[in-house]
Amino acid sequence: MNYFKLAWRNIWRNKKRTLITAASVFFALFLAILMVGLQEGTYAHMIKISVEDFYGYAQVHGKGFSEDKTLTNSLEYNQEIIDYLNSNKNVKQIQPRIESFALSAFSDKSKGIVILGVDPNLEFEKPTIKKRLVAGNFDEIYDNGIVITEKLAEYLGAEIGDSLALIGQGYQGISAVGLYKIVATISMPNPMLNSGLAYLDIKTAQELFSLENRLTGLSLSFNDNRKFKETTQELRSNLPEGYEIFHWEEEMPEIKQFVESDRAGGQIFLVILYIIIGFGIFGTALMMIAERIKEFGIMVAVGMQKMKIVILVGVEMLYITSLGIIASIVFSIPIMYYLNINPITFTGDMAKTYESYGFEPVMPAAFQLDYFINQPIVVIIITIIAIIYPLWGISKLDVIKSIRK
Amino acid sequence: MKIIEIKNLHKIYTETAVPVKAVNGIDLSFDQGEFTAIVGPSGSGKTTFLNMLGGLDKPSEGEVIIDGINIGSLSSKQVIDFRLRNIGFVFQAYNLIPVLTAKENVEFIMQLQNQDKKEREARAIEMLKAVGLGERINNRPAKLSGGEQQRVAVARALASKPKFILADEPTANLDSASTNNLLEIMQELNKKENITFIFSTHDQRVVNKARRVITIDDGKVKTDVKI
Ligand SMILES: Nc1ncnc2c1ncn2[C@@H]1O[C@H](COP(=O)(O)OP(=O)(O)OP(=O)(O)O)[C@@H](O)[C@H]1O
Ligand SMILES: [Mg+2]
Repeated sequence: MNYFKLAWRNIWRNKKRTLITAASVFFALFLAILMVGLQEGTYAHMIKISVEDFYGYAQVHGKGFSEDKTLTNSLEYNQEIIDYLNSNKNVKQIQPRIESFALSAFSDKSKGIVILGVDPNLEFEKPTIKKRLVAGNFDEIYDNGIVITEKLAEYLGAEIGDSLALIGQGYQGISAVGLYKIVATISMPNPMLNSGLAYLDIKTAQELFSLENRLTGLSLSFNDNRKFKETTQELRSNLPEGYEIFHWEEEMPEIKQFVESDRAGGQIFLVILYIIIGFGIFGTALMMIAERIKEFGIMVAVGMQKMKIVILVGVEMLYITSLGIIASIVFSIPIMYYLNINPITFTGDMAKTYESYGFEPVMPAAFQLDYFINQPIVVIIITIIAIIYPLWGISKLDVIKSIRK
Repeated sequence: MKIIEIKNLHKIYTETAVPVKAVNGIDLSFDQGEFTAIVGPSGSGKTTFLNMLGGLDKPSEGEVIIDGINIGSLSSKQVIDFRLRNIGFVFQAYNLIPVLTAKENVEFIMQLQNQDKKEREARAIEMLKAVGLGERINNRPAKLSGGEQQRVAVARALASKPKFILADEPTANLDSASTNNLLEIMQELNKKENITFIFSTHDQRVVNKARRVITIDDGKVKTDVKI
């Protein structure tokens, strides 16, 4: 009869209490896994939209561009910078970009919009962008075509096939004027972008803004995107003269801030949840010990060291928590997997609220192994903390008094 | 052969409003193979005395020397180990671990002593047979009568081969048939295997079976009669 077997038998002495305690661990942990999974999934989705679909994990600019986003601070697109960036093993893709402004005009309407010059092959192949196509065809953009947002088309009263005029200022103050055929309309989740954004082929944009071989940025994606900070740092250390590089967190701190503050809110909830669980475990341990004081007294009297009883009861408590932990993992894995593949999609007012903040009204769940490991570890640590005091009571047990009970 | 020597033993409880002199100067010695009853009115100090004898309680004054070792000089952990190796205990009731079978309960102390599994199983069965429970080895305490439970407790105390067995009112919760039965088993083990028993009791029939009767009153030895 080893301690593990003895502990196992002991927890079933009071079936109801064991099951209630295990169930409370189960519900709390299940809730925690679900909540963290949905939160992290939503953040990842948000970051994906802003970062992967728009900025890139890092961008190289001409020096001074991030301070003053004008074409004067554009960069020279040459083999030297490409070779340099490719020399880093983590760099997966380099996407040339031009980001500027122009006035768009059709018939008697006009509106200032953001102009994005992109490599259509790379940009419109991104699954998220691809699925935002409302009408038309991206492929026709090469031949002096333009892709504009749905809302802009609506505002201007323009349709596919119409010609849109762009008027702005090019490199070194040269005026930028051009006429482009609308080949497709697109819907952006961010309402501000959706009201005024247009895509041009990078070559077309270079011509419009008299940039020749210049760009405003090189957007980078990495083999391991999680290492965006380290890789940016590595690239920054030997960056050729005249360039600068920033990763997305530096460029868009508001996303990081939003994620962090929202995550903090979730963590407060988790802390409260875990405190409740901790007290539940604490109470169970106290009761389990209190009703067995006489038994423990006899065990010590016949020659069992108190430390062994402490270990025995510790194992019993860990068994009870483990029952809850295992149940919650077994239960949550398929659910999280399902929600990862079939994200919760909001409709009605909830969807409107999300959209008004510039977010897509979806809540995909993150499905990552560590969420099924980290939370259980936290619960085990809480269990250990919660039983310290009750177990300490065993080590202070007075044999005579406990036997007399 | 002397196995226990008690010198000038005192126990004064001071936590109470008036200090209680529960044991008030006892000098005694016990030999190997004794079968001794400790008697006396309620509150006379029998339990207090036995607890100090078994190293469960610390004397206020005086010494308990077992096989030449003054157990007052041992640390609290050492005392627990000393009990494990030298003293068998039978308490009034609820001696056994409820989730263990009779056999597992008997094995329990041998396991604490790190005895080999085969050896301890064989000995547990042997001891349970000796107390007449050869047929009940796989029963848990809840499935045993009070008398049977006490017999398992005796088997457990014996199995670890202690120098002596202390039993504080082992028959207090038993009917007279079970009392007789338990005493007969104890007597037989005492005679056959020369095991030392020291037990307290209020029961005259139990006293009648003893070969030495020590009467305690007011924490002092009143009479000490060998039969
Ligand atoms: N922890 C304690 N604190 C204070 N007084 C105590 C304590 N334990 C025992 N006493 C007192 O010491 C005296 C002896 O008690 P003890 O239990 O040894 O008597 P006893 O002979 O075993 O009695 P009984 O036959 O009723 O079991 C009693 O007066 C009792 O009230
Ligand atoms: Mg007593």
